[in-house]
Amino acid sequence: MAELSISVTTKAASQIKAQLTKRSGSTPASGVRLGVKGGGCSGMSYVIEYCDQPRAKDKLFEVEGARVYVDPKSLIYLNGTTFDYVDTFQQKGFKFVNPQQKSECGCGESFSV
Amino acid sequence: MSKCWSCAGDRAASDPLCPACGKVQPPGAAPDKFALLGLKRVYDIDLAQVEERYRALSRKLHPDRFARAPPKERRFSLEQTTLLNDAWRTLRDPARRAEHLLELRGVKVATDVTMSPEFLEQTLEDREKLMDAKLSGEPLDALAQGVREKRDAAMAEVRTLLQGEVDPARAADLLAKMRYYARYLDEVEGREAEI
Amino acid sequence: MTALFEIAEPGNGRIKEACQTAAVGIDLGTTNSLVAIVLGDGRPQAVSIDEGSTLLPSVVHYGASGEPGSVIVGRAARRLAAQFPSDTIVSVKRFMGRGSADPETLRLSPYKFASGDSGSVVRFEVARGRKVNPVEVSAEILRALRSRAEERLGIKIQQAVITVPAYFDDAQRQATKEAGRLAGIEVLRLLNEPTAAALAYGLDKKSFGTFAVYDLGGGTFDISILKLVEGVFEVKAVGGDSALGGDDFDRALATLLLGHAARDPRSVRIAIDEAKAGKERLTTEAQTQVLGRTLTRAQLEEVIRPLIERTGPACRRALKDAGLTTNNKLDGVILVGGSTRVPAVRAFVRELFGLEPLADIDPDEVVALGAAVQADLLTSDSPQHDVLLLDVAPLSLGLETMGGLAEKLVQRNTTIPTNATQEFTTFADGQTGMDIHVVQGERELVQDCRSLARFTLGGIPPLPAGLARVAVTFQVDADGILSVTAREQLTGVSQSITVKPSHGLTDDEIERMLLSSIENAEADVQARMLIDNRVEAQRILKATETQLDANGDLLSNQERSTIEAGMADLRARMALTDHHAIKDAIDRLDHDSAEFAKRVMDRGIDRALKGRSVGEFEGEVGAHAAKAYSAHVEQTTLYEDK
Repeated sequence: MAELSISVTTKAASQIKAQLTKRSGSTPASGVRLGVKGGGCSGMSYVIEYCDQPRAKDKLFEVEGARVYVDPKSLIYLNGTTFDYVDTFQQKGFKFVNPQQKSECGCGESFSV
Repeated sequence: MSKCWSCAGDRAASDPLCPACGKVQPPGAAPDKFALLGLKRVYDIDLAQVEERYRALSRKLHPDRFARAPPKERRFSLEQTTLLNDAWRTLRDPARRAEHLLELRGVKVATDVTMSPEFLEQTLEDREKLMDAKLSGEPLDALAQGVREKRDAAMAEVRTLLQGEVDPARAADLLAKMRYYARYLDEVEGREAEI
Repeated sequence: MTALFEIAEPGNGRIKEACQTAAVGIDLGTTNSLVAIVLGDGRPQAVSIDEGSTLLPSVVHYGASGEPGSVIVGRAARRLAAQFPSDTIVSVKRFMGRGSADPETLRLSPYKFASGDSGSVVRFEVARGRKVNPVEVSAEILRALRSRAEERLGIKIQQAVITVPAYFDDAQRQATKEAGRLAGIEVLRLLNEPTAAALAYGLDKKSFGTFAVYDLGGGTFDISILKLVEGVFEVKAVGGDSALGGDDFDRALATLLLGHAARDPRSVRIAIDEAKAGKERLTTEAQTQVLGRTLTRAQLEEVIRPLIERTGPACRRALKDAGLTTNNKLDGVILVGGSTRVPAVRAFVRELFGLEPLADIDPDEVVALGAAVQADLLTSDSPQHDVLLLDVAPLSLGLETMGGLAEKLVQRNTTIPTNATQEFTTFADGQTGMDIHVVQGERELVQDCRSLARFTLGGIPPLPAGLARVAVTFQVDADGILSVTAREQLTGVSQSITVKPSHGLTDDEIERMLLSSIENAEADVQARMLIDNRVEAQRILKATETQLDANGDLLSNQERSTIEAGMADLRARMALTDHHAIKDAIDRLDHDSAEFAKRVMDRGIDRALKGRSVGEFEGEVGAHAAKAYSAHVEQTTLYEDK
């Protein structure tokens, strides 16, 4: 089967680096972990956490020096996803553009594939 | 220069938002209503442009934008929006705008001016005409027009006055007249609305 | 819409419960109340809450048993109104923020009022001698709206934007907020009804221009002039009459119908109800039978014409305040409120403004829909509509000065939030205190204005008259609620109050209300838990069902029957009122299906690893399976690698 992967935009990458720098306790190996977990009204939710100690089977995506870790199970659901950062007049934050996503709940916090 | 309370970046005292991090700032001590709306301290302003700026700033500063922000930012938003509303109310009115310009120049304009006997007589006459017109039901247009002309003349005089060295007594007299004309016109239009 | 995310510290990455709690818009109306919500597609929608209708009649019946549950709201209460006229409160909104000596209290009505001081708040005497004030009655309506919408939507409602007539004074606004608090709702904002209506219209039509909103409801009349530019809704002027509406039409007609007949609470109630029904029929018919006599539309119009005409001067004044004349530069007139269905009202509006009025959105729902949009704006990370409302103070605010004159500090139609400061001096040598009397209204004399509050600033240093200076500052917030600060300039002695309306609730009354709500708190908590658990039960049942259909082959017969038995048990218990029993059944089903959920998840991953697209097992990892799985592993950790 084809290699599963996600892509990280440069905007997201630079935002990750900026937030890691501001945070106390970050090490050069620190990055963020993207994941999927059960819950929310449409079944699954996205999660973004800081990650100081990657796990053995984590897959690493490095974009412009920003480290993004994804565990193998989550990667199945995130395959093909573009991880972006939005900073407009009205809103600010990270965004998952997931082509597998079939539906979303009203608040957009959770989804199903 | 002032410092942003959040990111400690430099900002002008009149900046309602930090230019670096975008956080809402507490208002300064004696705010300049022109600066708040990004204007130079001049009498002649483009009202349409100022209104557009007022709306753009309202979008950023209004308490509705801070409904979920920490209490401190909510307070700053309330204070800044209060000032912004006050600035727009002041600047769009010619008499208040002139008064604020004088205030910024350090000219204290007295509000309890003794008007000339001629002016007082004139005002009494205007009022009587208004009462008569109201009782007889005749249209108020002509009356209003006369007062409007006097107001425009006073306004032109204020504009000239502001270009040079200001005589506080003269300024106080003119502003009092402008306030009177505005009230009179308000009343005429108010009567029309009641009919 | 897509939600945006923040990076969380490890282990803190929680699933926001955004879906399970929601902010709604509530139109707490004189005749009917509604609740609306903005759903995922961005469209506001009114929720069906009373016998299939989105309208909940604002009627509260206090049953004779006095037991919890004896309070009935809505259509069921309305059906009891004729039989129990004084125990059934209709149109309570008219009494919000009103004193027992207010003219409103003294009008034709079937209620028994509890005696009290002339300045004190109105209290209705209902079944078993129980005395309730308008805030408590309104809180019952809000509770009903909330719990019915929760059951209907399957979500918890904690926050709301509640609408009020633009012309509501400070006392009426405070009373509305108080009712929300008493009902356990966090009131995000009080939104003016016409503004809410414009919001609902403006969004649909991407309108630009200046609009008049003519809002004639059951009990209040509002006129607002708004300017819409690039998503900013700027209220230019408001006016109206907070005691004029369709109820007055009914009452005028009832007075005609009653003639010289004896009047007791029951006959008055019946006459008013019949008048209302007759009025509604005359919207489409030319004549109708009411209480055994024929009534024509012309007769109705003759009776109500003086009432309709009372809306004229307020409209003209609002146009003037907005810098317009009747037909200068107005781009449209929006009709709001059930009473604008009356043909004579439409004709009057058409003539007054010289425009054909707009009424495309249901005039009964439009206010609630706009409120829902505002609630979404205030609570959502990524609101569906980027709009801003700039509202105004409906009435001038001032202070009493020497000689009983009202000195205005904030002029009506000033954009809020706003503040104003005025300095006063002492008038007697050695004066150490100053009485501050806050009033609201347009009249010159204090006695003609509404008294909002009185307080005394003490501790002024004894000085010759005119030397001590007291600065009084008014701050009006975005809800239109006033707080007043008085400060003596020399010593800096200051005193600050949020205005407690003179005709509002006394401290004693507020204490009593809070005590009684604590007494009822246990019952409230039980009711809440019951709703929560029923909602949760519905969700788990649906999710399990879906999984049984799609992946039932993963189970042995015995496993399947265990799960099915658990489901049957839960279904049976949902009808019970014991929330513990429901919760136990949920937990048991959760436990019994955890292994199943795990197998479903593993199957999905297995298939994906075999090169099939995830889309092919759509539905296999449904809501509950995934939830049960993560609950089984650990709620807050990500999937561990194997």
